[in-house]
Amino acid sequence: MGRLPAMWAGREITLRVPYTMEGELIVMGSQSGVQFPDATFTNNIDMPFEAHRMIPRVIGLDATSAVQPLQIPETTLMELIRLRIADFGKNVNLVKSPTLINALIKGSSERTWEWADPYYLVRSEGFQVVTDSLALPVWDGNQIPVSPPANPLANLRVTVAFQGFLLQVAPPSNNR
Amino acid sequence: MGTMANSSTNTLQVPGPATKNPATLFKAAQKPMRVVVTNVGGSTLFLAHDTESLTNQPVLTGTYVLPAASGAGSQAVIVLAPMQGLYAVTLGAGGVATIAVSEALPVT
Repeated sequence: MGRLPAMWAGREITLRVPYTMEGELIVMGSQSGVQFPDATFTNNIDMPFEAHRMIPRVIGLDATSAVQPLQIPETTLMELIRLRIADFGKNVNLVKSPTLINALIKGSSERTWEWADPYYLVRSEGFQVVTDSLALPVWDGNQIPVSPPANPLANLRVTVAFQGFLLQVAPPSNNR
Repeated sequence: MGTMANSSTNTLQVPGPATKNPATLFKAAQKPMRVVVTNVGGSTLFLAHDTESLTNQPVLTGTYVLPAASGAGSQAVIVLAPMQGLYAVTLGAGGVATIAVSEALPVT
């Protein structure tokens, strides 16, 4: 299977199941310390999760939390959110300091944080993801903007997905 | 990575009592960790090692209470066993908790 490891913890990997852990959070502008619920990014399955990438997305919402028909350019939206990511299972931070999403992803064509080596979460290990939002720009989500904005940008929906594979290892175990 | 786990600091918004998702302040990994929790918000902070104690109403049994900050803020030092977590909710809106985490029994 290409360059992917054939073994995990000394045991042969017999099957990879495509898997994603995704969470959504609605934040207002200029907030700090808002975290995804604890269980969102916790591996609660009896198989190791081999994460290959993190996929962050930001969507502009109006005051009723409906998606604005006309969105701000995505690069701008991704400059409005900082993420702090920690793995409680291993007591390590994945970012040194809260980091703008734009600084995590590779570019405008591949908007993911790709990991050259896979990262593993065993059962009950997980990520804590905390968001900071910057001040929102004035933006009218209508096709024909008016002043003041008729459908102003009020909230952001921050979506984070960890994508990879669940591993079936041989022999199977009750613990992992 | 040395033998001593890294210390860390963090400040988090803490949701109100109606939430089904209490804030996770910290979870210990393989080593016991000491957590200094200070209530820096305007509302009473309830701490517990399980989320159920914080989501079942009323919230008192099984929790540790840090009164609302008035000036310096009320503080507690809590030691987490390996793999144990520390969660929080507040009595009202505007809850904020700040934590400083270090290994409970440092080995250098």
